[in-house]
Amino acid sequence: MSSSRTQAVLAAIPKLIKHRPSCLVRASQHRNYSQSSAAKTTEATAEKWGLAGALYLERLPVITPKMTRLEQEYKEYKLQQEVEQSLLSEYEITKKEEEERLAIQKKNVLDTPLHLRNIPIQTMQDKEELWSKELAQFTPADRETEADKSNDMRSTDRKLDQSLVLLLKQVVDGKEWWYLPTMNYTPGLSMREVAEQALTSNCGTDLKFRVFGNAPSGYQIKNYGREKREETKLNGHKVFIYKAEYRGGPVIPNEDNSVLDYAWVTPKELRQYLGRTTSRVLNKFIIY
Amino acid sequence: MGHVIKFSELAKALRTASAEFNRRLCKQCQNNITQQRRWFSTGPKLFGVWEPDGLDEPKFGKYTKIDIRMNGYDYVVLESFSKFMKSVSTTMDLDMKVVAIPPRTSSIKTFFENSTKVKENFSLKRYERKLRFDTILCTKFTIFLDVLRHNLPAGVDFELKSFSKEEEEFRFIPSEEKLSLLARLASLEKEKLERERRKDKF
Repeated sequence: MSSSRTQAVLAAIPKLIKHRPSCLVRASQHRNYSQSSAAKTTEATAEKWGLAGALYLERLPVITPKMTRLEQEYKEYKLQQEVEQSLLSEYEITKKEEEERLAIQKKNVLDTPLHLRNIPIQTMQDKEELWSKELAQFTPADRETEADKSNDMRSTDRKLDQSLVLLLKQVVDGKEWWYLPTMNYTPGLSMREVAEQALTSNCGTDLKFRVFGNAPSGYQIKNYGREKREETKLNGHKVFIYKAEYRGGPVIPNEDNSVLDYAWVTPKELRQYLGRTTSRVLNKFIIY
Repeated sequence: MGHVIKFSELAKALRTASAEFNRRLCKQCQNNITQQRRWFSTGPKLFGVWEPDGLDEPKFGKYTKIDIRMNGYDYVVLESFSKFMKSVSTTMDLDMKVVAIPPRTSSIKTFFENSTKVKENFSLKRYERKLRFDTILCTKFTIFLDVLRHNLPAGVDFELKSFSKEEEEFRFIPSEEKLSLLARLASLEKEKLERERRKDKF
């Protein structure tokens, strides 16, 4: 360490510690020196923060995600390899014999060899026709629903292969802004209960959801500007975000709490609704 | 404040500063304020206070005896998913065991309308795997559950339960010999009791 730096540090220490060296000697003799008085290096003003709980309500994907090109090509390659390296099955052997018999029958009926003379009651061709008829009766549902085509942000049927998050449009201080359902902390409740009430009070009690765990998954600290700090006497507010799984039920925005609108948004579309800092906070615990 | 010290470098700064500080004090103050490392087992002290590591660490609760039961009809998918969750638990440093449960077979028959003639006969096997935790930190468990829910493949259900001993009975195959011997013993004892009763009657 250079001497200038040590000097700077040494010069800083007495300024930080409000006791003089003689006090320190006295204190060490008493052996009652607690670490808290040494740690009073921070500002004398205590920092007060407003607390709030928010709920990250997630509808998990309903259908399997689409395979990437690499996955698709690898799967086809492996399938082809498996077919080429495998032996013929019973079904394939009988089918082959049938084809041989039909070809020979076209030439001459009596010259058919012995092993091909036993004609089964139901030929493989007939079976295949039955099976393809049965398959035609079943049509799988579309991967893209109506909500996808009409881009209805309020429905949970959009984007079935991705997860959706609930965002609420609220009016705070005269401005409209999109955020997760939030509620200020009330003493007497645990933070998780505050987050759950944030959802039920803003979106109606018909919503079925499940929060996992009592610890929040993320947090956001917002510092107030000078005016607001003087007004509310708080340094800012801290929001603790809990993750929850959506299990069903409608979202009824509560107009009394100035909730104007709601939207179910995929995590990749979050950036369009939320600012940069909020999406960074959420990206820390989102699993895509 | 004169010089801005980075929090991460605070410990180092304090240590070197304490050495420099020491040099500038009189011998009496030196002995009283800063004590050099005397024995290897005790760390250096500053201002007469030594605090061991790990005192101010937050204490999180632990969940004990948790079973995550995964069911599925497709063995390949279930097995590869349980292997994946095992690798997740090792990277997260969790104490997890994967327990295999023997499959339960069920046969399903479809009938023709208004008759007992069987149209189709399916025999299905429902495979099961259990992810068992003896103890796990609450905070890590939420994250583990998150990973599990988001990566759950098609065709696998999962259930969170606390571990119970009665369900373990299904895992073990009863030994026929032992059961038959026990049955013989019971019947022999019964005969003995009846003989004694007949003797008493006479």
